[in-house]
Amino acid sequence: MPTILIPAVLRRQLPRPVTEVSIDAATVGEALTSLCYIHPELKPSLFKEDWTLRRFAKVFVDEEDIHILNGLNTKLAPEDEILILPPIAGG
Amino acid sequence: MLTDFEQKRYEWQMWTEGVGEAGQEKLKNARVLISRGGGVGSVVAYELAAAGVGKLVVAHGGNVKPSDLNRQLLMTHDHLGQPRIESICRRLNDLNPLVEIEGVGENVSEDNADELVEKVDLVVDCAPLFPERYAMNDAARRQRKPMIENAMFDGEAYLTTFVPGVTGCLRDLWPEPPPTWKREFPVFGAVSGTIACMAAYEAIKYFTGIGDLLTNTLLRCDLMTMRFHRLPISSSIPP
Repeated sequence: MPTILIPAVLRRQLPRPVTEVSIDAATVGEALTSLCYIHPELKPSLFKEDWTLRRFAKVFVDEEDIHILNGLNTKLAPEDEILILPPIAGG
Repeated sequence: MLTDFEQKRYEWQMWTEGVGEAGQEKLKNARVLISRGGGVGSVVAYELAAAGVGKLVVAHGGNVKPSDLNRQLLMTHDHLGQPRIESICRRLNDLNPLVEIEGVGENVSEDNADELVEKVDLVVDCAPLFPERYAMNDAARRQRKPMIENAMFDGEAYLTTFVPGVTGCLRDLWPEPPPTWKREFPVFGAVSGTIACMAAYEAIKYFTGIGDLLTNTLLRCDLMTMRFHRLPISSSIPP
């Protein structure tokens, strides 16, 4: 199953810190939507009300930006790794 | 031209392939703006002072607080309640009196960013708030100067180097800040110091010409899991 890596900013929004989640999904959109159903605390950080991806949330599949692939429709293979990259500014 | 003492002081780093005396002279002629001098910026400044960068302009407002001391390594216990910039300048001068240190006792803002960036050849962005980061980014972009962007949160850290004409800029990477970002965040000094050392080496590579700069790529380091990713940054490169 594809794996979603949960970044530190989002880990802290969960009741218990989780560094990664494996989800049975055919596309990036399905995977992230399922993630938000499992952990509804994450939805406001990733999606707008209409389930479009927030502008500041970057998503990579196997270190490729999904915007250069096929966006949320990017197809996933079982071994794929999805990385969510939120903006941070700690200095 | 390096003095005899400078030859001795920097001897071990001049052994690095491609540096030598010529590379050290480039560092001696270099000028860098660092803002702020906190968990990341203090270590960037310390490493660049140790390496013999000719001039460091460090901007940081406020007074030293107990909560600074777990990571802001240029602040000292005996300076609690005193201006942070005094502690920063004192510690950098103690480390390397050959480096010119210009302390600015205020944080970078849209009001002072252009003036501060004018003084230097390169900017290292270590600010804890997005408006400060954007102010430095915009000034660096207007003056066509490179900016090393490094940031952290908890056990995670990012690093990339923006070079005008070669890469995009911070506004390409993050067109808008997340609405929930706060100035206070979980941090061990070991994490902020790790990414700071990498950022300092980017600056050293930029001036000496050694190695490969982290351009059009963002390095994501998760020190909690010890997983590192090199991520291509899609950006618009201005002419």
